[in-house]
Amino acid sequence: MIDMTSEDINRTYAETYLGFMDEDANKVHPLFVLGATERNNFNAIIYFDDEREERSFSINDPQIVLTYPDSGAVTVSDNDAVFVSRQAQRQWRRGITSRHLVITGDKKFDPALVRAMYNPTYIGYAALIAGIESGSINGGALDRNFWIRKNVKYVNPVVMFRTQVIGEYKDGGILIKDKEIGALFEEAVNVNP
Amino acid sequence: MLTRDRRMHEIFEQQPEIRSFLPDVTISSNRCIGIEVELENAHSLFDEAYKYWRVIPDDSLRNSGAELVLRQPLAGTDLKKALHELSGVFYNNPEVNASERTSVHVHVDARDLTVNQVGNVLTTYIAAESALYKLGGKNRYDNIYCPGVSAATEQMPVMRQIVRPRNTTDVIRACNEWCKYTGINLRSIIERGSIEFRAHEGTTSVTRIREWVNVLLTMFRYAENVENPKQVGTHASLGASAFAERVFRQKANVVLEDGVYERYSHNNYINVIDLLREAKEYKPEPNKEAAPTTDIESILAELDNFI
Repeated sequence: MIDMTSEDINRTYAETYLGFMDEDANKVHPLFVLGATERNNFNAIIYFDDEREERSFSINDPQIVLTYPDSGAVTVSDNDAVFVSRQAQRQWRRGITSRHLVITGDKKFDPALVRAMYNPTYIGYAALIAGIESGSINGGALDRNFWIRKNVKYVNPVVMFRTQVIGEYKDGGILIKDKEIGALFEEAVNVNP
Repeated sequence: MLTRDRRMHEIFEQQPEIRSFLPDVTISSNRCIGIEVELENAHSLFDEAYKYWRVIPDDSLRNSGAELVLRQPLAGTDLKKALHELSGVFYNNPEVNASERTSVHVHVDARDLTVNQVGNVLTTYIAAESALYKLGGKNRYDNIYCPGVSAATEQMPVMRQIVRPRNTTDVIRACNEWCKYTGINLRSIIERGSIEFRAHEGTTSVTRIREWVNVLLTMFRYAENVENPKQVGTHASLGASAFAERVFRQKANVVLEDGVYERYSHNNYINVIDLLREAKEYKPEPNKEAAPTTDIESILAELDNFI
């Protein structure tokens, strides 16, 4: 049981995102903490898929997710991917904020990104390549470490390992020069073909 | 007291040497250790003087927050005695508590280690990070004070300078650029000659602190003897159980408990590969028709290439 004064809640969670678990525990929605109302209680906005709702919560509400989601590559908005990692720095606020994250990719910090972090989705290699080739998607995450996306700076879609370009999709195949990373990539494709 | 019976440190008001430097069976090795134990509600601690511990106020904590810090690095029997004194402190001051804001930081003497051995320590730590965080208390893995290397991947280029240094400057730069708010802090080598481990949550259990110290010392013993970081990588590729048994020996069961390490060990291993690789930049075919960029990082990169 957590016991927090209003001041504690404001210092620790105000103006940051937490998660709000669906009743069937299938999905976590972003929840933006506005501020404490009294001891152990706060107001927040939940960002459901197609609507938002302001409500009052208890910090001990079992649907509130206080843990930080894992870092890594995630598919965002079903059509692109980014890599999210955490800043190694002193952080007084416990929730998710843009100040504490490093985002690699063309996506700004918003509730959709928080949703993607809490519910990471990965696309199978074949579907990912087909989608990029047809132009229906710009990119996607294969797993926590690998992601592929089109980048206007390059002719071909690039393969990313975490924050670094490590190869490209060229002439119907993937070209990765680093052997060890290439082996890891193959492993990732085997897991998510 | 007769003058001739007085000790020099009394006459010249110096601290006496309290260390015997004798090994002890309950401590995994005779390498010197420093410990900082953060506590809250600790007003009563300021009234007393302890043989092995200093009490330092800590304003980042609440309700008379304080840190109990070992007066000097200790090993073996001396460390055992200091931990015994710490048990007494907790027993006599039951109101003292270790809230979620507190932690236990352990410094392991690294002054005699070669750069290669420090690289071994770092690689071993990364290969076993999830297990160490689990042991340190689950509150620390998703904590805000020291994210693991798995979460703070942007630290990787700094770390590579330790395992693949081109020269001494790389090592100095890496230690200087190290952000101390991670589970392992190499910046402390500059300040104290030690490698600091910050992944343990606050506790008033001396048993847990001793266990943590012993696990770290066992890890150091492995890192001192293994050939190089690449060999650590080879051992890590054998899987969680085999690696834990090789590194942590009799402490392997402690590290493998609950299956957390098994679950995350593959990602820990990918971190090791990421650490050990050359990380040469891959240059994809550029799109010459792309609009000129106004992205400051790209402009600086082009300027770098030009120079």
